[in-house]
Amino acid sequence: MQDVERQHRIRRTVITLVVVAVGMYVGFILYTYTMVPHGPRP
Amino acid sequence: MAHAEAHAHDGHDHNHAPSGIGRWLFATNHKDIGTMYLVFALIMFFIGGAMAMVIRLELFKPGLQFVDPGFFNSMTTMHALIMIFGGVMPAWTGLANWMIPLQVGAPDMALPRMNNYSFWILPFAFTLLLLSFFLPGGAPAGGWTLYPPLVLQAGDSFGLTIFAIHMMGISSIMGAINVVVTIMNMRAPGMHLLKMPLFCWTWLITAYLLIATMPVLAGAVTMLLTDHYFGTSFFNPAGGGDPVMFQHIFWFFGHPEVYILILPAFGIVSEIIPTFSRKPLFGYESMVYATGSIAFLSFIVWAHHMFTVGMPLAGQLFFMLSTMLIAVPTGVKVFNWTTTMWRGSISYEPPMLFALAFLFLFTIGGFSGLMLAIAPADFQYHDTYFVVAHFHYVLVPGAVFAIMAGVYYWLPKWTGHMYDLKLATWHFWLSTISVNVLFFPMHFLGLAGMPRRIPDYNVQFADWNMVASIGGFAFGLSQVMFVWIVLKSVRGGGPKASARVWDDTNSEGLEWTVPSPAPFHTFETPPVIK
Repeated sequence: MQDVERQHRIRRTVITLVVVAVGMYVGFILYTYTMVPHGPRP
Repeated sequence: MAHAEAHAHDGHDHNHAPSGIGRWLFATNHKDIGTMYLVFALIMFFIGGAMAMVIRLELFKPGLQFVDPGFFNSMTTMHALIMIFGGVMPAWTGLANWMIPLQVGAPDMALPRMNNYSFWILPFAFTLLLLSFFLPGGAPAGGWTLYPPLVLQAGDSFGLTIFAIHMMGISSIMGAINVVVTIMNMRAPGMHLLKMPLFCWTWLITAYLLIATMPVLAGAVTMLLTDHYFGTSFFNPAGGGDPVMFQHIFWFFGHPEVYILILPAFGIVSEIIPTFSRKPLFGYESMVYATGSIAFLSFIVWAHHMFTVGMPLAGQLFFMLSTMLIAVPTGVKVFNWTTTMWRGSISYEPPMLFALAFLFLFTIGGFSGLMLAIAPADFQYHDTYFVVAHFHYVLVPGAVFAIMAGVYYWLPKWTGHMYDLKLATWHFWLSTISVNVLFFPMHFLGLAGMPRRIPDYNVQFADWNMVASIGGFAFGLSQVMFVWIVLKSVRGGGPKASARVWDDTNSEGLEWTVPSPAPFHTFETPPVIK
C-alpha cells in the first residue's frame, strides 16, 4: 500500500516538473514572439 | 543532522553486479551510472583542458604563433562549452548519482531507467559537438554565449551545435528531475528534510534551478535555429527582431547556470570541513536558507552580464544592487565554514586541503565578482581578462577543486581502498600553486585593458601572459597525477578502507554506515534514522 502511494507521489512529482520545464520552454519562445513586431518585412 | 544505526547486513550477497559491456550500456544502478558520469566528465576535462593548452600556447608570446585566429576562436568557444556542459555539470551529476541515494538511505535513484537515458545522451551530444571540427567552416567560434548576429554567421557546425545543446539540456533536465523525485520521495523514514546532509540540500536546490533554466536556454537556441534555417526574425533587426533580446534570455539562463555549477560545491565543502575539524557544522539551517536565497537571487541579477548594451539607469541600479545582495548569503556560508573550523581539531588530509583552498580562492573570485557588479566600473572591465580571471577563480579553484575534494573524500568509500595520501597532497600543492600562477596575472592583464577572446595582443601584455601560460601548463600536467592516484585506488592499491573512512564522529551521512567499498545494492531495507 505504502509502495503504491509512493509510486503515485513519484508520478505526480515527475508530471509537475515536466510541466514546469515545458512551460518555461514554450513560455519564453511565446514571450519573445510577442516582442517581435509582425507584418511585412521592410 | 541524521544519525543512523549501522545497517545490519544479513549475510546475503549485495555485490551481484551484472558483468560485461551490458552492465554499463543498460546500467540502472545509481553507483554504476555515477561512475560513468564521473569517467565521462574526466575525459571531457582532459579534452577541454587540451583546448585550454592550445589557447595558452598561442598566448605565450605576442603575435600569431601556432593557430589561425578562426581556430583560436573555436578553441575558446569549445573549451567553454566542453568544460561547462561536459566537465563540471556531469561531474556533479556523477557525484549526485553516487552519493544522494547513499546519503538519504534510498536503494537507488527514483527513476533508474531515465537515469540511464540521461547519461547515454551525453556521449552522443558531445560526439556531435566535436565532429563539428571536421565540417566546412570548422567548429563553432562565436563564443559559448552564442550571441547573434555573430553566431548566425557560423558554418555548417551551427546545426550540430544547436542539436548538441538541446541534447545536453534534455539530459540535464532528466537528471535534475531524478534528483528532485529521489530526494522528495525516497528518503528513509525519519530522514526529515532538515536532517539531510548539505550535499543533498544544495543538489536539491540546484536541480530546481536546472529545471527552471535549462528550458530557457533550449528556447533561446531553438529561436536561433529558426532564425538561421527557417527565416524567422526573433533576433534579426532586419525583420524587427532584437539581438539584445537574445542576451537577456541567454543570461536569464546563464546566471542561474553559474550557481548550478557552484551550489553542489558549497554542499561538498559543508560535508568536508566538519569532518576534518572534528566539529559539527556551524549553522546548518542558515546554510540551507543561504543556499535557497542565493538560488532565488540568481534569477534577478542576469543583466549584470550586459551592462554595456545600454540600459536605463534604474535597470543598472537594480541589477547592480541585486548582484551585491548575493554577497550576503554567500558571506553567511563563508562565516559558517570558518566558524566550524574555529577551535576545531583540524587535520589536513587532501579533501580538507582542497576544501580550504576552495574557501580562500572561491572568495577571491567572489570579490572580483563584486567589483564587476559595480556598473560604472564594469564599463571598464567588460570583455577584458579581468572577467576571465573572475570566472576562472570561481570555476577552477571553486567548482573543480570542490569536485576533487569530493572525489578524495568519497573515493575510499567507492573503491574500498585508501589512495596514496602523500601523492594526493603533492597533487594539491602543485594544483594550488599553478592555478594561481595561471589565473592571478589575468587580473593585472584585464585591468591594463587586454581584451578577452583574442589570439594576439599588444607587447605591453607579454610578461603576464607568459607567466599565465607557464602556470597553465603546470596545472594541466598536475592533473595527470590525479588520474594516476584515482586509477591506483580503483585497481586495489593502498590499504583497505573501513566503513567510516575518516574515523571521526562528525561525518554524519548515511554513506558511512555501509561497508567500503559500498556494495552494489545498499539500503534494500530502509535504515533506522534516530
